[in-house]
Amino acid sequence: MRRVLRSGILLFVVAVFALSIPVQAKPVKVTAYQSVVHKGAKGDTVFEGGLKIEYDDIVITADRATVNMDAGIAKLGGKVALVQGDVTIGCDSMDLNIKKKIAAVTGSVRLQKRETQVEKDEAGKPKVSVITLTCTAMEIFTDTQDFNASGNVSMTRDKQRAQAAHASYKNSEKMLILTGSVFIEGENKESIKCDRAELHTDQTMVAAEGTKMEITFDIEE
Amino acid sequence: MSAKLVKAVSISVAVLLACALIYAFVINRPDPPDADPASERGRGTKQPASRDLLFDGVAVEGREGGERVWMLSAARVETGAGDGRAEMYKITEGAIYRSGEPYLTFSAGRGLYDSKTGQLRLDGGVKVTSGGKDLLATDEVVWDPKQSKVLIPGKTEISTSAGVVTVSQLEVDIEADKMYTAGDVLVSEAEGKGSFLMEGDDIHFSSDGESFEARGKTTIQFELDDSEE
Repeated sequence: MRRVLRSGILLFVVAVFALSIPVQAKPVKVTAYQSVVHKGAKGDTVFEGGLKIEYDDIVITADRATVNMDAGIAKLGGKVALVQGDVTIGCDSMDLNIKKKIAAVTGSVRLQKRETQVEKDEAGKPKVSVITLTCTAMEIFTDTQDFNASGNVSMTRDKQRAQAAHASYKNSEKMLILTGSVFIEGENKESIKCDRAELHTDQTMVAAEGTKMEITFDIEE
Repeated sequence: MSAKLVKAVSISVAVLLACALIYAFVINRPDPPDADPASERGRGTKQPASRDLLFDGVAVEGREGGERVWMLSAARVETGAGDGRAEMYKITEGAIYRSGEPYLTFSAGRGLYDSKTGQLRLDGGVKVTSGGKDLLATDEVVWDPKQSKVLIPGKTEISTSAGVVTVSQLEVDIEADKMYTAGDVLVSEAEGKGSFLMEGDDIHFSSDGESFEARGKTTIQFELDDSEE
């Protein structure tokens, strides 16, 4: 009985503590350069002629946007660009959900990421490579910087390049998983054709798998 | 007691009494009592003080180009100083007209009409309603019939069905049916929704205050509840 009572009190204390934690508010700043139209009844605010959205460590620019401030969602169009730390994304349109921390981008998507490499240069300092990934559509999770890309995915890093139907990136593991008609070409023109490949973005390491794999490389004579 | 002493004391008392009366009723004359509409009505109809200002009991009407541009009921009206101005106190029912029809209605502590400029200046807790609904509350309003504009130089709260809009200055264009503002604008939305702060040089609201348009560089800042995921 005492144990039940103790557990009950503990649960009550935890519940009270959880309720007493203040609700976190995320400040969002939108700067319009030409025009803003807000329709009160609908709740949408339409920006034309250039705008900038700033929140957390993210800066998004676009030619036009429809923003619902209550819901924390925005539909951006024109020349859209998202900058978050070392990551820059350019695209034609973006569906942004600030609360859910998701940005879905489409149309001429181009992601660039500066990645510190495990390999060191002659001075003993870590090398920095710029990874460029292009695709038709991409979903970005802004809290983790993970993303899923689809549609003619193409990636380059230094002299390495890769192609696939889909790509999924986990920032914590620095790993890009390529699936569907994967083709990877290395610095020395060696290449791999496979169904799935794991490509580390901070080191030149590739793990390929598939029912039918094709590896091509030159042998020095 | 000598007769001379009695006389001197009597004269001194009389002089002191006279001084007290002069102070009380001439130098320190009390302001006219706040008008009681019932008693004021008993004074009857005044004659028009100017060509454009008509008095009908305690109802005052302003005209511009022969057309009624404002009308109000006041508890007391003071005019006749020869400066073409009329002061009205305790305005209970006032209306600003557009094309001969009431456009905005208002109440105010005081109104000052200047026949030279045609302006009607209202102050002392001005409340403006539109279509029977509260529209805005402020300290001072200037209605300029010649420009067809209502100017509000100070902080104003615009009530809308969506919430309250607080602006640092406001200009209501009666002809265009729009409200113009600049500087900081705080939009506090009702029904548990959030609020946002807007800053710009050219912001205009619809006449109901619910929709707005802004031109040029404008910033909007708001906060999102991060726990709602």
